[in-house]
Amino acid sequence: MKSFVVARDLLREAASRRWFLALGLGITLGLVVIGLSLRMDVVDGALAATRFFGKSVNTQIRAADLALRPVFVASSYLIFYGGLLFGVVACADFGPSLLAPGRIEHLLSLPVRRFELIVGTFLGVLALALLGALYGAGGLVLIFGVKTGVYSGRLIVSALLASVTFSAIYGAMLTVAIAARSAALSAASGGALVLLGIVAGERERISEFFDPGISRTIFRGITLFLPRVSSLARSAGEIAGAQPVDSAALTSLLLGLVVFGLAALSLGIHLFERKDF
Amino acid sequence: MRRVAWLVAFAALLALSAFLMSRGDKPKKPERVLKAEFPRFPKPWEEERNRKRRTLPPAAPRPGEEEGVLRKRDPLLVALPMEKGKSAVVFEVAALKESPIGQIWLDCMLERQAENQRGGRGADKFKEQFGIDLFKDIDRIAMSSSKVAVLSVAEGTAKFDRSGWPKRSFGEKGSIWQEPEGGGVFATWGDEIVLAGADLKEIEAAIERLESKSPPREQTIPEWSVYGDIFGVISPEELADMLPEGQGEIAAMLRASIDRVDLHVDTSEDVAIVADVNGSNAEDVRDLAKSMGAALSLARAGAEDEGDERLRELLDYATVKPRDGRFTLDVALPLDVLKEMGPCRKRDAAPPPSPPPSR
Repeated sequence: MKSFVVARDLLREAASRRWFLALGLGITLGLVVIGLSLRMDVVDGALAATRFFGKSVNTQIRAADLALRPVFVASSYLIFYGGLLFGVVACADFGPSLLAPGRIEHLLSLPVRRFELIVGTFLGVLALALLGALYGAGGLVLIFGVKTGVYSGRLIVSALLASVTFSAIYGAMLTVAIAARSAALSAASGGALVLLGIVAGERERISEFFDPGISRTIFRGITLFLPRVSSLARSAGEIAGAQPVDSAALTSLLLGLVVFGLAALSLGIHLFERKDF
Repeated sequence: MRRVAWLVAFAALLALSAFLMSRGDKPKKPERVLKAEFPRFPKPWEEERNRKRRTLPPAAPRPGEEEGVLRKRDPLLVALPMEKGKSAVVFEVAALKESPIGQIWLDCMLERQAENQRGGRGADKFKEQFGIDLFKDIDRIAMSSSKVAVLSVAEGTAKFDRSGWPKRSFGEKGSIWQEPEGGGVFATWGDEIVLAGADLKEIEAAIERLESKSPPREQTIPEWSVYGDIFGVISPEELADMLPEGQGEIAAMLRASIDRVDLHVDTSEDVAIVADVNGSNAEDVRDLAKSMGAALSLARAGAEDEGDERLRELLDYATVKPRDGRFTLDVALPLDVLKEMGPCRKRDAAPPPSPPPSR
C-alpha cells in the first residue's frame, strides 16, 4: 500500500517536470491539429473523401475501418517506439533522484520499507507510461471515431502493449540507476535494451546468419534473456491493423516481459537492500 | 537470508521470463501477400499481340477521312455487335489456361471430363463431332449480349462437316451449319473465326460485319481497350439488371448516369479486376461512386455480421477510385478464395465414404 503512496508522489513530481508537461502538451497539440485539420466525408460507413489541411489525401472510396487501418498501424508503431524512446530519456532521472543525498536519508527515515520505495517508483513510472499511451491512443480513437463513426479499441490495446514493454525496460533502468546512481547510465542501459530487444525479437531469423556452432549458440544464449521488443511492436501493429495475431505466442511474450520486469526489479531491490546510506 | 531471497527471485524470474519469451519466438508463418496487378493500360507485349491479330483489311474511310490513317482490324472484335447498349466480353483463353487459377480450374475440368467421357459426354465428344479441342484449339472467346459467341481458333481445326448438319455458304468466306432438330447454329468465317449461337440472323449479321467494306461504326470494344486476360464492355442496363433487388437505387443511378463500363481482368497471379465507369455528367458519376462505395461498405459489414468470412475478405479488397468524370472499381480476388469458388469448390466435393455398416 505504501508503494502506491510512493507512486503517487512520483506522478506529482513528474507533473512538475518540463519533460512531461512538454509530452502532455505535445500529444494534446497533435490531437488538436489532427482534429481541426482533418475533414472526412463518410457515406454509410464508407470513407468517400479525406482532406488534411484542405488538401485531398484519400482518392479511394472504401469502408472507413479499412481505410483507417494503415493510419492505426502507423500510429501504433509511433506510440510504441516513440513512447519507448521518450520514456527511456524522460524517466531515466527518477531512480537517481530517489537516491539523491539528503532525499534518500529522509525517505528511509519514514516508515517505508526499502523494497516498497523501489516498487513504488516502478509503479509510478508504469502508471506514467500507461497514462501517456492511453491519452495519445485514446485521443486518436476518439477523433477518428467522431469523424468516421469507427470506434476501434484496437489502437488502445496496442498502446497497452507498448506500456507493458516499457515497464520491462524501466525495471532494468531502475536497477542500473540503483547500482550506479547515474541518470545517464540509466538512460543508456534503457536505450541499449531497446536496441538489443529489437534484435532479440528477430533472433530466430538473425541466428540463421551465424554459422551453426558456438557463435550461434552464444547469440541465441544472450538473446534468450532479452525482451522481444520488435516482436511486441509488430504484434501491436497487427492488432491495430486488425490483422490476425497468434494469441498464444503473444500471451507468452507478454507474460515473459512482465516477468522480466519483475526479475530486473528483484535485482534492483537486492542491490538497494545492500546499500548503506 | 532476505537479501539472498531477492537474488534467488531474480534468477528464478529471469529463467521463467526467458522460458516464456522463447515460447513466443515461434517463427511466424510468412503471410501470403496479395499479388494482384490491376490492368490499367496495355503492356507492350499486348500491343504487339494486338497488332498481329489485326488481319482484316481496313474498311472504307469515313467521309472526310484520309485513307492513310486507316489500319487493319481484329476480326474477332469486328464480329461483335456494334449497337449501343450491348455488352461484349472477350476471354483470352490461352492466357487464362496458363494463369494460376486457370491451371487449378483446368485440372478439375479435365478430371470431370474424364468422368463425362465414360458417360459419352464432354469435350472429347465435341472434338469428335466438330474438330475443335475445347482445351487446346481455342485462343479467344468473345461473348456478347446478342447471344452469339465468337471464337478465335487454331487455323483449320474447325470441321463442322463431320457433324452431318446441313451446310450453306454465306457471303464470301462464311459457311453456316444448322442443327436439323433444335436451334443450334455454327458458322465459320475463314479458317480461324467460329461463330456459335441460337439466332441465325445474329450470326449472319456478324459475318456481314466481317465482310462489310462500308465505313466502320465505332466498335463495341475499341482497340485501345484490348488488354488484360478478360476485357470488354458492359452496358449500364445489363449491369443494373445484374444487381441484387435490394440495390434498386444504385441500379436506377446506373441506368441514368452511366454511358459504359469498361472491364479488364488480370489473372497472372491473384485475380485483379478493374471496372472503369464512364458517364457524361461528372456530378452524377461522383454521386454514383459514393453510393457504390457505401454499398460495398454496407455489404462488407453485413458479411461480417453474418459470419461470411469469404465474402468479407473479398470485399476487403474492393475499392472505388473517383477520377475526373468517371470512377474505377477495383476488386482483387485472392487465389485461395477463388479455389473454393470455381468448378472444384469444396462444397461440391463428394462426401467421404461412410464406414461400412458393422455386422
